[in-house]
Amino acid sequence: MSGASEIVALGSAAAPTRVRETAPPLIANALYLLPAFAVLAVFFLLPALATLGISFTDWTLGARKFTFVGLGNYLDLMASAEFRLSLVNTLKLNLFVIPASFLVALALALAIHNTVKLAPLWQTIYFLPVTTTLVAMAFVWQWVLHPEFGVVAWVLTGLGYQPVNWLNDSSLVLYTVGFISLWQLVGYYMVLFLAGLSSIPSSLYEAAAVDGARNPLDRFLHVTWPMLGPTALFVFVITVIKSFQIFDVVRVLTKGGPNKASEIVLHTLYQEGFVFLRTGRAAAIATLFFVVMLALTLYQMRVLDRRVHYGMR
Amino acid sequence: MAGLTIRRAQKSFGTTAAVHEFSLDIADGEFVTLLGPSGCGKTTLLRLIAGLETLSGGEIVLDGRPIHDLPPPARNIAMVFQSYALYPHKTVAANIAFPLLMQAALPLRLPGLRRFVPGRAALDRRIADRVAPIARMLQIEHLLARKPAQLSGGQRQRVALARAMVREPRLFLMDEPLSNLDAKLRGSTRADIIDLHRRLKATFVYVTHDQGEAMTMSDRIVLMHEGRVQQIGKPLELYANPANLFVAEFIGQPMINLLPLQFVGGVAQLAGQAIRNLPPCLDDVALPHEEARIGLRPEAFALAELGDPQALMGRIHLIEHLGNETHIRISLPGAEITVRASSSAAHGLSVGQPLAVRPNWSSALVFDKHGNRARSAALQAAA
Repeated sequence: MSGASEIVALGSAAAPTRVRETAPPLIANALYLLPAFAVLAVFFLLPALATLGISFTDWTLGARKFTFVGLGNYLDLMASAEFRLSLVNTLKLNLFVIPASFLVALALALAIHNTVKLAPLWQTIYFLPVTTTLVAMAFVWQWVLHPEFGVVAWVLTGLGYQPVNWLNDSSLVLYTVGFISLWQLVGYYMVLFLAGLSSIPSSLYEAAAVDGARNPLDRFLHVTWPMLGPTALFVFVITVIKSFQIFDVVRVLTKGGPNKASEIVLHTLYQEGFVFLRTGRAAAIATLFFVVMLALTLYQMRVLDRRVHYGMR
Repeated sequence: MAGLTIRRAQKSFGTTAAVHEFSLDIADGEFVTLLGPSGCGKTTLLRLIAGLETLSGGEIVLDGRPIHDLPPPARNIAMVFQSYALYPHKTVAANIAFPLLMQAALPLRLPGLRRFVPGRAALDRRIADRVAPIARMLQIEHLLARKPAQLSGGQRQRVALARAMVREPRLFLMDEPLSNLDAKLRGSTRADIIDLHRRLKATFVYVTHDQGEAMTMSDRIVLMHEGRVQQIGKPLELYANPANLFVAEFIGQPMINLLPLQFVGGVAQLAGQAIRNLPPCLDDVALPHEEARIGLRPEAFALAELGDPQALMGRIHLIEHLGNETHIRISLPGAEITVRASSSAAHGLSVGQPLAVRPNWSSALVFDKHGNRARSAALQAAA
């Protein structure tokens, strides 16, 4: 407000008649903002606040009364071995999916970018899974990976190996889930990388060649990778967000099993909230999850942003 | 002999030929300019020398060694790009040092990891010792820690030059290095590059579409048009003795005047005016050529008295005062010409006024209807 009145005061000295016309119509501006703000409030801000509030109660879904338990839900979660297992599994899954999708997407993009022929075909093939519904594709994968009837088992047997029970082996199940999620999203990251690669001016590669950059590694390390910085940062942030969101494959194919080997935080949250109806506890998980994600994203943006170079101008 | 030899070099893209059988010997230490309008093949030729394009035929020999099958890094040629192509993520110092860094062993070339490699400090010191004098010479010492985005156009251009110089190559290729600079800076940088060439005693191949640059900087000019050489020669040779109409029109500012020469009933008519006594030097060349054109540079005219029988009569169409001289555009019955006059001679003239100018026939150039030079012993003697 003080800023606006200063502008008015300064303006009135110079051109008093125009001030009234250009004075900020505060009410109109607020009205313009209202629809977007209302949607945001109803679908994001209020539920987030409600979740935070519920996380301090023992409310169960549908109950008419509840009591405040303070940090009780949080303390329970910390003490729970099951939740700790869920956290460890989530960490394991993400430590596999994040670097793997990032590197596979980068490798695919580099390969396709350097392909003269059929580049659009490869691009389409790898992008196709992005357009599918993961829940449906999860069932397809279930059959592809089936230890008796699946294509993979059939190939393994044909090659003289024992078939592997991908989804029921507790040491493998997390990575199988991770692989299916990676398969679905890697095409998306790849397209982002391709866009970044095509914006690197070819004169830089020519200059590097004339300057004596003999092998592809030099070109990659001294031109491609630094020039790809902003794209890589963006892809990395998206990869982290998407990877922590993995839920549907687990829900559809393993339900956290076998023996809680694929129990991850989002699945625990779902179980607590909608199966056991312990809404207060589920809200506590959701809040923790939100805080961790927010912290991670802010950290990435701040720390990595400083190391990334943004073009000539 | 050290130098660059190009023999019957050809380059086509698909069915389009960009360079037709190009041959040229460039002496060691020579400054040769490839000049021509855009699309004439000059940049393609430069890229062929650098190895950024592969020859469709012919050969390129540098210092007695065929280089056309070598990849660019193996040719030891430096190039300054039109866009400068500086690495935007590297500091000025790192940009200049890059060609030297690329000569180091692989572990020392790895960004980040190199700090753990033994010998790194010694290498960096050696590199810094070579970067420093070049930066001092180009007056960019104070910019070494900056990134290219923080530099002006002229400073970027100097960094690009420094990066080219750091390996001390025998051959420099420059692709329109001044075209991104403003007019004033272009003039001073032009002088700097001439100076640099003198000091380095290296061979320069310079590409430009600006005939002024080519005229002032080069030992020799190669004028190209549509992938073919039009003329190779010293700047003043191209100016005074162009091989054809294209060369005559491309070189020189303001452009050469072309006056149609016709014979009506045995009487010579130049730009629609009867010439009573055609100068003997033109007589025998012009006669066999119907529809010949006479080329006269703007300075090949002298202002004359109205009614002078040797003069062409016209009306002043436009007067451009440049301070040191004046360009007068004159409408003749069959052509429009530009005459260069001293400011004092042009004093008092006004647009619309009739004016007589007397051509200096000894510098006249005769072109046949195909645009080729029509020469005769008499004309060559006169020229």
